[in-house]
Amino acid sequence: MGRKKLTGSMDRQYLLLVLPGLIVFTIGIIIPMFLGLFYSITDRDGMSAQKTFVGLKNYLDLFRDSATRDAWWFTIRFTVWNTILQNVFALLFAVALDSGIRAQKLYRTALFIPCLISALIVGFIWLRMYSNVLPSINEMLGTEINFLLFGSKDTVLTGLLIANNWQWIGYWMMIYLAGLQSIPADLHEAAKIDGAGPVKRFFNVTCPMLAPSFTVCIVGITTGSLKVYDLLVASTRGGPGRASTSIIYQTYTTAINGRQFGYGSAMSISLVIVLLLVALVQVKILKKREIQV
Amino acid sequence: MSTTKKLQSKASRKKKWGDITLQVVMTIVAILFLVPVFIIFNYSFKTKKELYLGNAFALPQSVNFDNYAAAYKKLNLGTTFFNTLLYTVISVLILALVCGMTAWAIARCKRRFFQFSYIYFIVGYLIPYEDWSLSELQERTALVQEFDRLADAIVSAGIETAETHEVVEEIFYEPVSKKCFA
Repeated sequence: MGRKKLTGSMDRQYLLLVLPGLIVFTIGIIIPMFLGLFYSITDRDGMSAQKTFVGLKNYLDLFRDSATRDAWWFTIRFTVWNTILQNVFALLFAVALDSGIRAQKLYRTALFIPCLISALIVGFIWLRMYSNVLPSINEMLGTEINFLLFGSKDTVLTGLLIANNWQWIGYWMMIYLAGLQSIPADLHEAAKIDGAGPVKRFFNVTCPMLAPSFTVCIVGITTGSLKVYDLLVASTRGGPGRASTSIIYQTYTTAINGRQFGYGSAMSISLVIVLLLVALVQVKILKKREIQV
Repeated sequence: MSTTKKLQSKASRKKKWGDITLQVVMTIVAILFLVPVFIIFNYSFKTKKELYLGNAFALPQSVNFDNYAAAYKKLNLGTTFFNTLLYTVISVLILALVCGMTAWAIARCKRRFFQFSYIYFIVGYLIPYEDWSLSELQERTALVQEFDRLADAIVSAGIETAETHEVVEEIFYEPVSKKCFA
């Protein structure tokens, strides 16, 4: 099928359906993105009318700036840990809930409630948990476990991972549950007849059939954790020093507080490029494994 | 059809040890997940004194809704809730309509333009949305500029003092009375 012109009333109707979405999307997102691209090669400081062109200086500065490099490093570590932990636990919980235990809906609701709270509130809750609530366990039990996970730069990543995973495991678990329940039972029964135990069945029947859910979850978790911001604002404000500054937090503080609008836009654009690359790679790899039932 | 078959085969199994441990484990997990929510709910009924002095897990002394009344007033909850509701309802309606149309068209028509628009939309999802309202930005910039001006003034005053003054050492002779032998 070569490239045909859009002739015929059917094609016109298809085009008509897509047009509103395209228009709103272009005005709302694409144009500001190009504006941001334009600002990233200037020296604008947010409010003054002058914009001196500095070419690619902003982008070169990005590589030399140690604050930005630290922010990238933190964001990458956060994303990798998040992807592993959330996927594994969401899958485990989904399999556990799907295996015929009672009160399944109760557990689903309990695990799903945290993702209804906005990330800002989650940060607020966990800040109080680490500083007030959990240390009071030490008083009650007489133990001396260090619960102040937001206090030192070595443990702040752990603290943020716990908070973020608490919020989002329920959400991805629902996606895996839906995927699990769409696997036809005949496949499991056929495998059982062939003599496969539960573990073998899990790896050879469940996982391949869950490939679409894997794609959705892995891409969603990766892009979501690369964009982490609200959680940090509410809980650590960049961490002890700058230990938990994500790339978006760094962009905001540079662009607004530091009034380097142009530099902030360059950071923004670089994040978009990275997100695009990551998502493209992931979708290409994961889509190959999908089987259409 | 296949789902009913599945339910029957799972419920009619005999309860094994694996099922019981799974039940216990999931109960513990569900309780752990709900603990922070319960604690915040608990906090919402405590007075400030109980918050700071009492144990975090202790139940409040009395159920009083003072905190809720104060929150209602501070958040201006009547107006803001209505605004949020309006915003949500309209957004959901528009999204359901527009996204449904667009997704159907992209899924049904295999022309290149629609494949391209699929990728076009996905790209948009990846971009973190930054909504800076202009007035907020202006206020913050003005604040920072004011602070800069003050800091500059202090530093320039310090430099002026350092430039126009000198550190000089002076030797004083103090008269001291001594006893003379009479």
